[in-house]
Amino acid sequence: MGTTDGDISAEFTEYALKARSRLQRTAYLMCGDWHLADDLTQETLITLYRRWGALDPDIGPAAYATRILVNKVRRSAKRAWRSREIMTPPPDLPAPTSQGTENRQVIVKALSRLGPRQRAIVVLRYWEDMSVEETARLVGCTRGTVTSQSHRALATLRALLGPIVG
Amino acid sequence: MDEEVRRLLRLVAEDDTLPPSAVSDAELTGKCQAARRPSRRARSWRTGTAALRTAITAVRAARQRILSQGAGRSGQR
Repeated sequence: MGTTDGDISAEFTEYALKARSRLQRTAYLMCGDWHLADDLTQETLITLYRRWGALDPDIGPAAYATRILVNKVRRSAKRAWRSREIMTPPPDLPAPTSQGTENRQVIVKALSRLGPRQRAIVVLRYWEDMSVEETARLVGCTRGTVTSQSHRALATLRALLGPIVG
Repeated sequence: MDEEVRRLLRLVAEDDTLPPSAVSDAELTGKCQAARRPSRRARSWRTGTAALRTAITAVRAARQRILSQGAGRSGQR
């Protein structure tokens, strides 16, 4: 009621500054590229701001933001597949300096072996701690698909990350 | 396995060695606000449409005036 552009802007800024880091980390887990995750997070927040005044208050901005992000990551994966040009990794990736860094790179590589939907399901279920229902709604599939895909994804990760999982 | 996957995802996502974002918070909110404003093209379209509407109204008024003057003259004959 009587919400002005100034109110919308202040509310959004407060939300965006709080949510930005988490969204970027979620995007990173889904796409495996920190810089792309940065771009996708910015695009997500821009899209969210365009709709900010019309969001359903029962759903909350976090769910909207996650849904927009999931769609953007999946679209970017399709685009990357079609216009694949970079054959070598970006030069500014840190070289593994410790066991922790090496493990991280192994995990990112293992995640990249999953399909985009499986990756999104794993990240939403185990990083965002979402329920099967929420994950299904955000990814746009049934509960059964979430369960079966996460089961398959975990089996793949177990096979790839055996030594790290221990 | 569930807890193990959570631990591994946290290990990757909460990596402190990842560089900060290329865009500052202030730049990001500026970008968002700019995206909400109508584009130059949209503004130009609206201005163009308004100008066209004014022109059409002016032409209609002129036509009406000419027709009514013509009717007046024919009435005088």
